[in-house]
Amino acid sequence: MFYRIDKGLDVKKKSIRTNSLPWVRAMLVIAATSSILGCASFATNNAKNSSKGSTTNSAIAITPAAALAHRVLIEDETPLSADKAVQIALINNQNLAAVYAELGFAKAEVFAGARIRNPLLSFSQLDSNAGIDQIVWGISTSLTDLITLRSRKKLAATQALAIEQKVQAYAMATQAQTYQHYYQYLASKQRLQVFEEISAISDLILETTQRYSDAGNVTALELAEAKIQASEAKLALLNAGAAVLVARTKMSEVLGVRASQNWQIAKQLPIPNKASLYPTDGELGKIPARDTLLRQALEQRLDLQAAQTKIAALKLQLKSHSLENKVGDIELGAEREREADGERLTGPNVEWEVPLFSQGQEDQLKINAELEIAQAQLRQLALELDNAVAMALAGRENSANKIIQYQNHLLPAQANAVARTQEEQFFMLIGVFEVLQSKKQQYQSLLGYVDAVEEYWLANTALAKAVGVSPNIFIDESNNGSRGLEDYLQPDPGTGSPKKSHKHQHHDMHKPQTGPATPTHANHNQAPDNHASHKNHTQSASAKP
Amino acid sequence: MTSRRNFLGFSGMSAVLSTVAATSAQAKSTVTPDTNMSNKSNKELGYNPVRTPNGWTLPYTEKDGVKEFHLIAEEIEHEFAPGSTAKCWGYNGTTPGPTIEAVEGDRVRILVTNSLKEHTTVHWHGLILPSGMDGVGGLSQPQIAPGETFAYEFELKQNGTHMYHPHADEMTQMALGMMGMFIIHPKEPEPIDRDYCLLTHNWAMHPGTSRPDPSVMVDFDLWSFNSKVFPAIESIVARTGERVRIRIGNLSMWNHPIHLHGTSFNVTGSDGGRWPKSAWRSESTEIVGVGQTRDIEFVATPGDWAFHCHMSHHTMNAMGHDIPNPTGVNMRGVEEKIRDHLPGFMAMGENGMAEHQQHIDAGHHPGPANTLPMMTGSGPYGPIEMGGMFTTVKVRDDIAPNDFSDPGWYNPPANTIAKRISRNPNYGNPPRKPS
Repeated sequence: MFYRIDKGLDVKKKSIRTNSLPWVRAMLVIAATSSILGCASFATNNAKNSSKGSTTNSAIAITPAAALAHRVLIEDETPLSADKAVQIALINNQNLAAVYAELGFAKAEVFAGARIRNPLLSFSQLDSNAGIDQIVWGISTSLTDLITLRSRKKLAATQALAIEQKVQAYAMATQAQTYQHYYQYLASKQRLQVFEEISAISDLILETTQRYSDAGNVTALELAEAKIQASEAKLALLNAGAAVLVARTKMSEVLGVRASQNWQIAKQLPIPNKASLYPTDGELGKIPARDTLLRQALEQRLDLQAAQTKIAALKLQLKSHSLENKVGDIELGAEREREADGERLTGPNVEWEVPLFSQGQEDQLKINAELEIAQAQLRQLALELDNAVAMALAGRENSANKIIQYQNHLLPAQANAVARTQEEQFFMLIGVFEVLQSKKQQYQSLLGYVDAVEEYWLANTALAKAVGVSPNIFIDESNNGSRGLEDYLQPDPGTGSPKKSHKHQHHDMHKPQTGPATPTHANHNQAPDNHASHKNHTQSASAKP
Repeated sequence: MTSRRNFLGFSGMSAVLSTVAATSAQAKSTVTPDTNMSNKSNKELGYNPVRTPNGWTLPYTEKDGVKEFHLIAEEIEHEFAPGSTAKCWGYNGTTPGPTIEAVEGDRVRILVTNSLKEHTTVHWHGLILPSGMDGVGGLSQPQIAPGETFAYEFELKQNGTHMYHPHADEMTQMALGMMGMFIIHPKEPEPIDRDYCLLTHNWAMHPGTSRPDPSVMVDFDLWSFNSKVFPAIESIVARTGERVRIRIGNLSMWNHPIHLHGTSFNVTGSDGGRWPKSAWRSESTEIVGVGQTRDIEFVATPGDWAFHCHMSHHTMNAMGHDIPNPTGVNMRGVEEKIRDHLPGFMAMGENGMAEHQQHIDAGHHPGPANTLPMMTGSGPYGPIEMGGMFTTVKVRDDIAPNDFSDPGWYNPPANTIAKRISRNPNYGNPPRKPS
């Protein structure tokens, strides 16, 4: 599909469309408008605070934005949601605050565009040897400024719009970045949880091996291998812990707060809604078809709009320069002169720079070059946009399929394998180590599941970023029964007794047991229902075949 | 006594025989087949019939002085013991196939219909017969293709305990259960009151599966008498003072030292027939080698007597062959932590394996589907902790002739049962070898 991307821009008709949350849009508009109107910007606030000699950290801590962030993050003990994280980032991200300050350039452009050079007053007094001086009064102003005023105003407005769009695009990028780091941080925490379980199981394998070694039942080699396994699991756990720290630090930078501050985010990654995972009529949940997404992206991407506006501004600049250079600089004025003999002369004054030898070609060439660069950049941006949408869609579909594979096949199969392994251990067909290894394998599969869910949300974020909308419009966290990592980390009831309720005392087998959930040996000599057949096929009642 | 299975077998065989009779113009007379020939009196049969515990005897038809039997090779559903069934291959609906019983000098015709999906043959193991009747596919005869029926016909020139089995794709067909006993009685009746036959076998019935694995050569899971495992093997029943013979054939892939408690038996015969008394050996354990048959005889003494293969793992059902040795391993403290990850986990075997059956019988933990616990069976005094090739010889004073029903547990006379005299582990002063 071909989209015309280098088209003329009607500045008046272009409005900022974010399709994001209303408050995000409102915040962007307020920030942009207030800056244009000369209200205090966040950057100004920061600058003021900094000028008081505060350190960088204290500047973060005492700005109104930082105070708000602190209140939301620290004082509200509710774990940080993705949406709340975006709110904080938009008001407290320091890079974004610096970019907001660029709106000052837009303001300057508007002023510059609407300006006509100040009139030039002249006065001269010429001494005469006749004793009476000649006095000349004059006033002049640029006719060219007046002629080009309208086009310059339009140019300035366009340039200001380009800056505004760039700032807003940055805000959208910050929003996407916040989601990205949010999911990455959550995923890193969940991976840490899984590594903790893997390490715990590896420790149990070692501890069990040690017990077997103490009994003289395993070799030194087997004990050494168990130690290796436990140590490797510890190292993996340390790496996972470091990854959490890195992810938290990146998240804190986006939020504009310190990583060391006491703020928390949700416990587990949201699990995609089944409607989002399973395509219906060619659509994936809330995700429209690729062509629609591309069209939306071309209409909504603020950086694309900023690039288009920049081209429009350069074209206007080219036109304006062309007019100025063709006309040449014309000064209009009036002079009043008192001659030495007392005669007074009054009349208009015109000065014209005749564009005979130079028509400002060097500037034209520069603007043309800038225009070509801007057009190339726009084409590149459109290409990247197209690719980004395609890649994000593919990534989303791929990760959705992976999640389905994990949820419907691998994880149930792993749980089943653990249960079946336990059954074999109950019948002494295999030993304790196989059971522990099976459980360890189940945990290791969960790592892949976390990766898949993380990939899914990152692909969603990338898709939203590519289309130029807020990621949350693609998110439906009402997972209608999908199982999260926490669910999978809970031990399956398996074939035995509930967790920790089985106070088996096989070392004192005939001690009376209490509690309904506690298996006892009281019925050792009577066949339970599911083993009733034992009684029938014992020697006392040898059944006929 | 005719069991339900025997009755069904009889009905099925009647249909087969009717068909054969209808299509055979030479058929002149038939002997009303009885699926358990041992229910007939010696006088009626002219010999003391053999009893095949858990099995049955193949009826025959007499045609022109020839005893005609009909075997059909087919896939069957077989139960080793309640809780373990499998798709096996056998004859006439069972494994082992029905016991063929005849008398030295008889001319027999054995029809073999192949209902398998691959060819087969039947080799008459140990029989003296024409080369072309020996049943070695490709060597002594063409293979019996699926759907075909072959007739083997020969004169029985010997007596003794024999077997039959395929000699085509032997590894698979025998591993799946195709085998049977072929008992040839001497012309002169023998002074045997009760004559039993058992065919030993091994099965790679991997826990959780439902078809024997023919590729296994060493690590078998189930060990059987007449394709049954304890506690599903019928007891050998006798009246006090009766002379009992147990014929044992081995078509498994291991030798079996067969041990009978409570008596010193005589090894009296093999596929060479009943040996002269001078050749008898008094034993309590007799090794029956692969491909061999052995007859043992004894005078029944009252009691419940264990009768089993003395290879310990042959008297166990499915068990792990490579499990880490848990004996002496103290898992206290670790076990609880493992249970946090694996609810229901139970460490077993620190003080031996005996607790295993208690756990299983108590219903603590189910095992894999279609799998028997390695130790099972309960007697009047508790768990018997056996499996595989284990059964009992039950001798009572009041067993009627031809009564093979289980008489229940033995009630020993007063003061003839071991009893507890102390619970003190330091009781007495047992001498130990000075160090």
